[in-house]
Amino acid sequence: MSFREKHLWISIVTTVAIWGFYFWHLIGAIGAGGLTDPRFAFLTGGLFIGCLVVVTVVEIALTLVATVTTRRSEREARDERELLASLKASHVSLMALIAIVFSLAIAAYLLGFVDAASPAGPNLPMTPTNAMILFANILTAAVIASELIRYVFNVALLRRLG
Amino acid sequence: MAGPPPIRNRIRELRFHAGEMTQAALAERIGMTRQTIVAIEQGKYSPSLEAAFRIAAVFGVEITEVFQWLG
Repeated sequence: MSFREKHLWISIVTTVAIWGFYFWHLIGAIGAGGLTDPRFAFLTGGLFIGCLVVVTVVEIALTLVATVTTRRSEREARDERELLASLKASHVSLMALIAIVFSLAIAAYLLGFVDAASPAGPNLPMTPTNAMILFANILTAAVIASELIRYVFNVALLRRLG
Repeated sequence: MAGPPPIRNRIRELRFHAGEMTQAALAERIGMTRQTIVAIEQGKYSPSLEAAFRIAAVFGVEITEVFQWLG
Protein backbone atom coordinates (compact mmCIF):
# COMPACT_ATOMS: atom_id res chain seq x y z
CA MET A 1 0.00 0.00 0.00
CA SER A 2 1.45 3.36 -0.98
CA PHE A 3 1.86 6.20 1.51
CA ARG A 4 -0.93 8.08 -0.21
CA GLU A 5 -3.35 5.19 0.17
CA LYS A 6 -2.35 4.68 3.80
CA HIS A 7 -3.10 8.35 4.47
CA LEU A 8 -6.47 8.06 2.73
CA TRP A 9 -7.43 5.09 4.87
CA ILE A 10 -6.40 7.00 7.99
CA SER A 11 -8.66 9.86 6.92
CA ILE A 12 -11.56 7.50 6.17
CA VAL A 13 -11.33 5.68 9.50
CA THR A 14 -10.93 8.83 11.62
CA THR A 15 -13.70 10.66 9.77
CA VAL A 16 -16.19 7.82 10.10
CA ALA A 17 -15.28 7.03 13.70
CA ILE A 18 -14.97 10.48 15.21
CA TRP A 19 -17.39 12.51 13.16
CA GLY A 20 -19.79 9.58 13.15
CA PHE A 21 -19.64 9.67 16.94
CA TYR A 22 -20.24 13.43 16.95
CA PHE A 23 -23.24 13.40 14.64
CA TRP A 24 -24.68 10.33 16.36
CA HIS A 25 -24.68 12.27 19.63
CA LEU A 26 -26.00 15.40 17.93
CA ILE A 27 -28.91 13.51 16.44
CA GLY A 28 -29.58 11.93 19.82
CA ALA A 29 -29.57 15.34 21.48
CA ILE A 30 -31.96 16.72 18.88
CA GLY A 31 -34.23 13.72 19.30
CA ALA A 32 -34.31 14.33 23.03
CA GLY A 33 -35.64 17.84 22.46
CA GLY A 34 -32.30 19.58 22.55
CA LEU A 35 -33.30 22.23 20.03
CA THR A 36 -35.42 23.94 22.67
CA ASP A 37 -32.70 23.58 25.31
CA PRO A 38 -30.77 26.81 25.98
CA ARG A 39 -27.66 24.71 26.72
CA PHE A 40 -27.73 23.05 23.28
CA ALA A 41 -25.20 25.42 21.72
CA PHE A 42 -22.80 25.03 24.62
CA LEU A 43 -23.04 21.23 24.75
CA THR A 44 -22.74 20.65 21.00
CA GLY A 45 -20.04 23.28 20.69
CA GLY A 46 -17.97 21.58 23.35
CA LEU A 47 -18.45 18.19 21.76
CA PHE A 48 -17.52 19.60 18.34
CA ILE A 49 -14.30 21.15 19.60
CA GLY A 50 -13.45 17.96 21.46
CA CYS A 51 -13.95 15.88 18.33
CA LEU A 52 -11.92 18.36 16.29
CA VAL A 53 -9.03 17.98 18.72
CA VAL A 54 -9.30 14.19 18.74
CA VAL A 55 -9.43 14.01 14.93
CA THR A 56 -6.35 16.21 14.68
CA VAL A 57 -4.37 14.24 17.26
CA VAL A 58 -5.36 10.84 15.89
CA GLU A 59 -4.63 11.80 12.28
CA ILE A 60 -1.25 13.22 13.20
CA ALA A 61 -0.36 10.13 15.23
CA LEU A 62 -1.45 7.66 12.56
CA THR A 63 0.21 9.69 9.82
CA LEU A 64 3.45 9.57 11.77
CA VAL A 65 3.13 5.79 11.96
CA ALA A 66 2.48 5.66 8.21
CA THR A 67 5.48 7.92 7.61
CA VAL A 68 7.78 5.70 9.65
CA THR A 69 6.58 2.57 7.90
CA THR A 70 7.02 3.96 4.37
CA ARG A 71 10.33 4.43 2.60
CA ARG A 72 11.30 8.05 2.08
CA SER A 73 11.61 7.69 -1.69
CA GLU A 74 8.07 6.39 -1.90
CA ARG A 75 6.73 9.11 0.39
CA GLU A 76 8.35 11.82 -1.69
CA ALA A 77 7.43 10.35 -5.07
CA ARG A 78 5.29 12.72 -7.12
CA ASP A 79 3.33 9.91 -8.64
CA GLU A 80 1.23 10.83 -11.68
CA ARG A 81 -1.22 7.96 -11.17
CA GLU A 82 -1.93 9.11 -7.62
CA LEU A 83 -2.27 12.70 -8.80
CA LEU A 84 -4.75 11.64 -11.47
CA ALA A 85 -6.81 9.67 -8.94
CA SER A 86 -6.72 12.61 -6.53
CA LEU A 87 -7.91 15.07 -9.16
CA LYS A 88 -10.75 12.82 -10.31
CA ALA A 89 -11.82 12.18 -6.71
CA SER A 90 -11.77 15.91 -5.96
CA HIS A 91 -14.01 16.57 -8.94
CA VAL A 92 -16.53 13.95 -7.81
CA SER A 93 -16.39 15.29 -4.26
CA LEU A 94 -17.06 18.84 -5.46
CA MET A 95 -20.05 17.71 -7.50
CA ALA A 96 -21.36 15.82 -4.47
CA LEU A 97 -20.92 18.87 -2.25
CA ILE A 98 -22.79 21.06 -4.72
CA ALA A 99 -25.63 18.55 -4.90
CA ILE A 100 -25.82 18.24 -1.11
CA VAL A 101 -25.76 22.00 -0.47
CA PHE A 102 -28.30 22.67 -3.19
CA SER A 103 -30.59 19.97 -1.79
CA LEU A 104 -30.24 21.43 1.70
CA ALA A 105 -31.05 24.90 0.38
CA ILE A 106 -34.22 23.61 -1.25
CA ALA A 107 -35.19 21.71 1.89
CA ALA A 108 -34.56 24.76 4.10
CA TYR A 109 -36.57 26.99 1.82
CA LEU A 110 -39.51 24.59 1.70
CA LEU A 111 -39.40 24.12 5.47
CA GLY A 112 -39.35 27.84 6.04
CA PHE A 113 -42.10 28.41 3.52
CA VAL A 114 -44.35 25.75 5.01
CA ASP A 115 -43.69 27.00 8.52
CA ALA A 116 -44.36 30.61 7.59
CA ALA A 117 -47.53 29.69 5.68
CA SER A 118 -48.86 27.66 8.61
CA PRO A 119 -52.25 28.96 9.87
CA ALA A 120 -50.86 28.95 13.41
CA GLY A 121 -47.89 31.02 12.31
CA PRO A 122 -44.18 30.12 12.35
CA ASN A 123 -43.61 27.44 14.95
CA LEU A 124 -40.40 25.51 14.35
CA PRO A 125 -39.58 23.46 17.47
CA MET A 126 -36.32 25.25 18.17
CA THR A 127 -34.96 28.48 19.53
CA PRO A 128 -33.49 30.94 16.99
CA THR A 129 -30.04 30.36 18.46
CA ASN A 130 -30.32 26.61 18.17
CA ALA A 131 -31.65 26.98 14.64
CA MET A 132 -28.35 28.64 13.73
CA ILE A 133 -26.39 25.91 15.53
CA LEU A 134 -28.37 23.27 13.66
CA PHE A 135 -27.75 25.07 10.37
CA ALA A 136 -24.01 25.21 11.08
CA ASN A 137 -23.95 21.50 11.87
CA ILE A 138 -25.84 20.62 8.72
CA LEU A 139 -23.34 22.55 6.61
CA THR A 140 -20.46 20.91 8.49
CA ALA A 141 -22.00 17.51 7.84
CA ALA A 142 -22.23 18.35 4.13
CA VAL A 143 -18.53 19.21 3.99
CA ILE A 144 -17.55 16.10 5.94
CA ALA A 145 -19.70 13.93 3.69
CA SER A 146 -18.10 15.35 0.56
CA GLU A 147 -14.64 14.83 2.02
CA LEU A 148 -15.50 11.24 2.86
CA ILE A 149 -16.69 10.74 -0.71
CA ARG A 150 -13.35 12.16 -1.91
CA TYR A 151 -11.32 9.79 0.27
CA VAL A 152 -13.34 6.71 -0.70
CA PHE A 153 -13.39 7.56 -4.40
CA ASN A 154 -9.67 8.23 -4.32
CA VAL A 155 -8.97 4.81 -2.80
CA ALA A 156 -11.28 3.14 -5.30
CA LEU A 157 -9.53 4.84 -8.21
CA LEU A 158 -6.10 3.88 -6.91
CA ARG A 159 -7.26 0.27 -6.67
CA ARG A 160 -8.91 0.39 -10.10
CA LEU A 161 -5.92 2.03 -11.77
CA GLY A 162 -3.57 -0.42 -10.15
CA MET B 1 -15.55 3.29 -17.94
CA ALA B 2 -12.98 2.64 -20.72
CA GLY B 3 -11.11 -0.69 -20.74
CA PRO B 4 -7.36 -1.12 -20.37
CA PRO B 5 -5.31 0.88 -22.89
CA PRO B 6 -4.16 -1.03 -26.03
CA ILE B 7 -0.50 -0.81 -25.08
CA ARG B 8 1.81 -3.73 -24.42
CA ASN B 9 5.02 -3.32 -22.52
CA ARG B 10 8.15 -5.31 -21.83
CA ILE B 11 9.02 -3.75 -18.52
CA ARG B 12 9.01 -7.01 -16.60
CA GLU B 13 11.33 -8.62 -19.15
CA LEU B 14 13.62 -5.59 -19.22
CA ARG B 15 13.77 -5.53 -15.42
CA PHE B 16 14.83 -9.16 -15.42
CA HIS B 17 17.59 -8.51 -17.90
CA ALA B 18 18.72 -5.46 -15.92
CA GLY B 19 20.07 -7.56 -13.12
CA GLU B 20 16.63 -8.61 -11.92
CA MET B 21 15.77 -5.06 -10.99
CA THR B 22 12.84 -4.92 -8.59
CA GLN B 23 9.69 -2.92 -9.21
CA ALA B 24 10.57 -0.80 -6.21
CA ALA B 25 14.01 -0.04 -7.60
CA LEU B 26 12.57 0.97 -10.95
CA ALA B 27 9.97 3.12 -9.21
CA GLU B 28 12.64 4.88 -7.22
CA ARG B 29 14.70 5.51 -10.37
CA ILE B 30 11.82 7.26 -12.13
CA GLY B 31 10.33 8.98 -9.08
CA MET B 32 7.10 7.02 -8.80
CA THR B 33 5.55 4.50 -6.45
CA ARG B 34 5.97 0.76 -6.77
CA GLN B 35 2.19 0.45 -7.12
CA THR B 36 2.29 2.57 -10.28
CA ILE B 37 5.00 0.36 -11.78
CA VAL B 38 2.82 -2.65 -10.99
CA ALA B 39 -0.15 -0.97 -12.66
CA ILE B 40 1.90 -0.12 -15.76
CA GLU B 41 3.30 -3.64 -16.07
CA GLN B 42 -0.16 -5.13 -15.76
CA GLY B 43 -1.48 -2.79 -18.43
CA LYS B 44 -3.96 -1.17 -16.06
CA TYR B 45 -2.42 2.26 -16.34
CA SER B 46 -0.84 4.15 -19.23
CA PRO B 47 2.13 6.25 -18.09
CA SER B 48 2.60 9.78 -19.29
CA LEU B 49 5.03 10.42 -22.13
CA GLU B 50 7.60 11.70 -19.68
CA ALA B 51 7.27 8.65 -17.46
CA ALA B 52 7.53 6.35 -20.48
CA PHE B 53 10.74 8.08 -21.59
CA ARG B 54 12.14 7.86 -18.07
CA ILE B 55 11.46 4.13 -17.96
CA ALA B 56 13.13 3.62 -21.33
CA ALA B 57 16.12 5.69 -20.18
CA VAL B 58 16.55 3.49 -17.09
CA PHE B 59 16.95 0.44 -19.35
CA GLY B 60 19.00 2.34 -21.94
CA VAL B 61 16.65 1.48 -24.79
CA GLU B 62 14.32 3.33 -27.13
CA ILE B 63 10.79 3.94 -25.91
CA THR B 64 9.37 1.70 -28.65
CA GLU B 65 11.37 -1.17 -27.23
CA VAL B 66 9.53 -0.77 -23.97
CA PHE B 67 5.99 0.06 -25.16
CA GLN B 68 4.12 -1.21 -28.23
CA TRP B 69 0.86 0.21 -29.50
CA LEU B 70 -1.71 -2.51 -30.22
CA GLY B 71 -4.62 -0.31 -31.24
